Amino acid sequence: MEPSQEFKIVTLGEGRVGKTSLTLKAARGQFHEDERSTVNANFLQKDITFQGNQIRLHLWDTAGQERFRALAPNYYRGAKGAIVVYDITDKSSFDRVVSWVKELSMQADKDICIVIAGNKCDREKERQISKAEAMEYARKVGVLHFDTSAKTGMGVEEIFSELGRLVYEVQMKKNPGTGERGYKSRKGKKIIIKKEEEVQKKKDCC
Amino acid sequence: MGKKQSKIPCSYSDIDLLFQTKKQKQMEFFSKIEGFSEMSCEWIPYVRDRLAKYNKYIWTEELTRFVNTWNAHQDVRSKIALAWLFYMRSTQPKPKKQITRTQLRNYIGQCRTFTILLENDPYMTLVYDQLAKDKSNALYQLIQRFGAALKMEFTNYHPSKTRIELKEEVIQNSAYHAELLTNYIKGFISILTDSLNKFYLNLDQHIKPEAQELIATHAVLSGEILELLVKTYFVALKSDQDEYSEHLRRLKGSDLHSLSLDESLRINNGEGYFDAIKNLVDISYSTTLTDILDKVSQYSNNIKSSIDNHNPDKNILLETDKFLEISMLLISKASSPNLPTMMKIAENFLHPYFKSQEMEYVITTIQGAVGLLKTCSA
Repeated sequence: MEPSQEFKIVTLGEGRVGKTSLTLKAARGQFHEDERSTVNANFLQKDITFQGNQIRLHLWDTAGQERFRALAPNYYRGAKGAIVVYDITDKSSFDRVVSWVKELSMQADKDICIVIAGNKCDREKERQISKAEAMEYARKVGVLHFDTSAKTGMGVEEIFSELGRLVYEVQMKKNPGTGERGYKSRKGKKIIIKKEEEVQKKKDCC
Repeated sequence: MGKKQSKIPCSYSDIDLLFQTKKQKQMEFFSKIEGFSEMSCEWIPYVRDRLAKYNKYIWTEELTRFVNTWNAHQDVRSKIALAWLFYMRSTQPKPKKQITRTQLRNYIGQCRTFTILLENDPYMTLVYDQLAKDKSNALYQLIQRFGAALKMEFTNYHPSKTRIELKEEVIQNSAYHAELLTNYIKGFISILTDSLNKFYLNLDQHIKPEAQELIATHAVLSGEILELLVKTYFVALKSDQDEYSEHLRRLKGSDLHSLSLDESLRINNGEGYFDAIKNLVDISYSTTLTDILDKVSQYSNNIKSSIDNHNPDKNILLETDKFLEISMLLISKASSPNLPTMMKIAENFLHPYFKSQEMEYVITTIQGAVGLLKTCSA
């Protein structure tokens, strides 16, 4: 079945928090250690169904290393949803969540839907961020928070389904007439050419 | 000296007669086709009207002159197109080539590309081939005229010159002219897209509107128009290009050991990725937008294949950090001369059909890797 809507979703977070594993688990239902060959996990797709509509999420992985930090805006440009991931066993990764959410609110699309994932919940004993603290922060900034584990699959399906639903609702509210596959033709776009008078002047000269 | 007589004696009147007979036969054939006699030639006044809306731009003058030479009463151009569609419908077309999905994926890569769409849709192939290759097609001629008009405006145009030489004023104010050219091309694509449905009657039944725009975009961005675009963008992006060239010179012969790639991904210091390196080189010499995007798609696919071949027993998770680092290594090895320019064109003219898709992701990553070369030490 062809999807009726397609949306771009980015995963953000510090290196080694498990954002790639999370998208891989969501898209293929597998943890990467189960795979036998190279897994191209930087771009994946996940189909979800909401109210009878087939929705396809294009999952864009982003670089986690600090030295690639400046490239992030290139990746989240045009994204309709973002999953900000932190590792519950690493406090510093949660601190980065705060700056990611701030940055997304300021620089990404105005209507971007953000959710936070506290990953590696299979290692509950090593937890450094209490669930209450994380939930309180999420409530404060008005986003949803999920506990996830890419290894066991806990919360993975839920976070993607919920984000897909949120994005779908926001986009439908914004563009009720969006065509099939969420495609918008260029036809309606106004073509702006700066310094029009200059062109006219040149034309007159010739 | 050097001029030989033709082996077949043939006068101009013979040639005229030949074409007249051919035209007569065509008309006889087309008259048997359903819808032929009812079909109006409204596409000609339609193109004129659309051009009139852009009449403040210089390029429309040339095109309007050209369109005014078309005679709507004796027009067979759109009728030929109709006959083709009729023929396609009556023969229950199959995809152009009978190839397996795996073969196609190996050739093109994993991304959704225009070539894959063409391979799977004979109607799209027919219309694209006519717009991009069929010299007798009126819309093909219109595209060529548009290209000629652009050359007149942006270059020191002379029919005897084969190389495109930008006008001094274009070079001096390159950013403005690059934007102007981009808008001209997008404007023309819009006119062409709208005209398609008038030219090929009932085209909507066979090809979705967004795919029609896609065909128009790829048909326009080839040959001389793309060459002019590359030249103009290259000048407009001079500082980026110079910086990129400088980093390539600095990193020449280096294996970029500052990257955190282990041997399983480094693969003989990048030499193992020879297909992907070749793709990067080929991007610079592409003559169509389709070609550029195919190479981008193949590049991504070839990286994965090389890792698979080199590590048959390992499970490797190729995430964005690693993909970026591999790209940095391969870009420094490929030394593709105008990669930033080509990627900017790919980005600016990437059709909404491919937006947010893997194609856009790979373009973003290559652009990111180009920008990160400055952070590499030799």
